[in-house]
Order: sequence, then C-alpha cells, then structure tokens
Amino acid sequence: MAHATRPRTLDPDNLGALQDWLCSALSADALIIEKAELLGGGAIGENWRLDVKVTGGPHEGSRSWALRTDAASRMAMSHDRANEYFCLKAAHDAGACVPEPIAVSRDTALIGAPFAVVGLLAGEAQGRKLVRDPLIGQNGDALGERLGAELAKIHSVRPPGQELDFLGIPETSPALVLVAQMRTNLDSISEPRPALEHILAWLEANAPAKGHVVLCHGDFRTGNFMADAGKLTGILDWEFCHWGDPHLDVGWFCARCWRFGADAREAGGIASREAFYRGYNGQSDTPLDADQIPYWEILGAARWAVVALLQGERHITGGEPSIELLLTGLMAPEMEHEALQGIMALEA
Amino acid sequence: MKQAGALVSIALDTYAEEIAPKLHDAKRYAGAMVANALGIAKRRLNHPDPGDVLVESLGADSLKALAGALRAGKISSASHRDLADKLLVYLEAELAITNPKFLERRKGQTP
Repeated sequence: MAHATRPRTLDPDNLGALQDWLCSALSADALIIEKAELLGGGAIGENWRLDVKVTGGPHEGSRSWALRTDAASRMAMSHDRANEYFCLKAAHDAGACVPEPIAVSRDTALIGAPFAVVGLLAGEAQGRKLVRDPLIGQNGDALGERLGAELAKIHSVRPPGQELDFLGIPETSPALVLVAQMRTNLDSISEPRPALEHILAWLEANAPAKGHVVLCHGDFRTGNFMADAGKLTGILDWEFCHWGDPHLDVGWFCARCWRFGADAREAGGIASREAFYRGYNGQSDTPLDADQIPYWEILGAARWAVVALLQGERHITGGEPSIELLLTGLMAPEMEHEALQGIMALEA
Repeated sequence: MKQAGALVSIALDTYAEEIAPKLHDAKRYAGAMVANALGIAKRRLNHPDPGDVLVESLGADSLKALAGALRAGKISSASHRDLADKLLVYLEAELAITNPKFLERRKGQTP
C-alpha cells in the first residue's frame, strides 16, 4: 500500500544528470543507462536495477548494477545510502562476499537523495523461500558455515576506519549503548511497552562487559543475503552497520524470529549452530564465546520488537499511511514473548 | 462497541467469501494484509484489554505508569516475584489478539 503512494526518487525518462555523473565518477569515456527498473525492496529503502553500457575506464562493458536510494522516509537508526555504501565498502575491502561497490553520491541535486551504486547479485534473498529451498534443506550446513566465515571477515574490520568516521565508537559496553538507544526509541512510541521495559532492565543488569569492538553488520540474518542454487552470492543491507560486540550479529542470525518457521535449524533457519560457529571460528582470530550468545539472542528479539514498533509508528504518527507498516508494529508482542521466555529460561 | 464488532465481523466474512477469491496474484499480499487487519480488529473488540488486566494485577495506575515504574526499577522481579509470569500472561493475551497462530506454534517448543 505504502509503496503505491510513495514518490519515486528516480525518473527513468530523465536520467541525463545521473548518466553524466556516473561517467565522470567512473573515469569512463562514455556511459549510457540503457534501462532503469524499480526493484522490489524493503519498507526502508528503494532499489533500482540499472543496465549500463560503459566505454573506457575500469568498468568497461555491459553492466547490471543496483542503485539504492533512500525512500521518502527512513528510520532514524538507519544510515543513509551514502554511509551504508562506506560500510559495505569496508567489508568488501576486508574480503567479504558483498555486492561490488561502484559509486556513491551525497549530492541531492542529482536524483533528489543520496544514493549508492553497487553490483547486482543473482539469486534469492527472501527468507521464507530460502528456508524452504530443497538445496538448502539438503546442504544448509555448508551455506551456514560459509556465512559464519563471511561474518568473521566483516568483523575483521576494526575501528577506527578513515571512511567510517561517522560511526561512533562505544565507550562502554556495546550492549548498554544499545539498551540506551532502545529506551530512546521507545520514548517515541505512542503506546507504553511494559514487557519491553522489563526486558531492557534485565538486559541492562546482565550486559556483558566491553570486549573487542568490531564492524557489526547490524542486520545479519536470513533475508539479508542472496543465495543462488544454495550458494551465497552476497550479503546485503548495510544500513544498520555500527561498531559493536561481534556476538550481536551472531545472536541476531540465530534468534528464533529470523528462522522463518524452520526452527530446528537454529542458525537462520538454514543450518545448525555448530556449522555456523565452525565457519566463524575457522576464519576469525577471536573465537566466539558461545556462553554469551543467549544474551545476544534476547537482545536481538528486543531490538526487533523496537524496530517493529518504530515501523508501526511511521503509520500511526509519521504521516505515512501503510497497512504493512501498521501490521509490522503489531508483531512486537511476538518478539517480546521470545525475549521474555529467553530470560525466564536463563533465570530458571 | 457491539455495532463495531458486528461491522468488522461481517466485513471480514464478506471479504473472505466474495472478494479474496477474485483477487489476482499482484493483489493477494495486500488482500492477506486486509484480512489480517480485520481479524485483529475483530478479536480486539471481543477480548478484554490485556493492558488493563496487567495494570490491575500489578497494582499500577495505568500502563504508562507501569512502564515508567519498570524503567525506574520501582517494580522489578525483586519486588514482584511473579512479575515475569504476569508479563508473560499479558503478552499471551495480546498474542491471542494479534497472532493466535504464533502461540499455537510455540506450544510444546522449548524457549
């Protein structure tokens, strides 16, 4: 519903300024955008497929790229497309399997919003489809192990990073920073959330001390990577990237709410935890502390509850009427239930 | 309220019987969201407010006051030994309205 009324940032019949800019930014002799097509995307971003013919320069040839730009509104906790690009680029430079970073612009005069251009990946990203893919059903542990290794590569990026100076480095426990952020977010929600307040109080009281701080993807889960024929083609959606505790991404990936119903495969609904952890520990110079992960799964459920509420609030008070956003907000009790049950299991 | 409940209920039935079967693929997702929204509204009208029940069980003045007391540490598991149980009952009452299937799936599963 919201997608039908949201203004588009790119006009496929008026691509001259973007074309000229890309030609110059990529040191090409000539560049023609032969086709621009709006792709399906999340409630936050807007994605376009660009089929481009490049003459001269490092990108010479016929290329298919994805242009990601901000939608009419986005959540305050997510990066704009330009900052997201630099997070993706840092992971790319660390050798992680991500879309190739092509170009980025903060100039709103070009298409009306900051945007990034990255390589277009083949495959499927939808979580519900991936967890039901027979190929993944037969050999999900291989994909889970690969994802663990890729996450470790992302986590090999450590602060400070010259192009990542917009990311604040936590001075205290990253978990406490997140609890404070979630409380601030809750203050902007119309309805009080007593269960979340209790969960946040527990997360505060049980927060792990500050360990080593790494580049966290921030939304590393099934649904945010692309797989083709059961094999990883790239990790997507870098808008929640931040310096934080590496266990955050692990807990988020394993949290039940991101298994899309395939609960027995505890790593993202696709693999065993053992395979995912094995892939991570085989790549990382700092092994995971498995004892910490239940805490981060509870934090992950709380965080998803807060994000869902913020999405719902975009409909309720944000001037963005959308049945999809409103229904997303109503999912919060599911995550609150997960988190509370997790706490009760640990306390038992 | 009685009239609102009847209206939502008949709207849901009419939608399910007469409109949903005629939707083409591109509109099925939107149609499913409409049916979900109407179902939640119908159950909301037919259930007692879970927030009111929680507020009363913990002796608070309002849901907002309760949330504030929880954040301030004035109400905690230390002061109310059965706090987590009561919050779980509250969430399950909410889920019986917003997503009853979620609870059905959870039955018999370990946390």
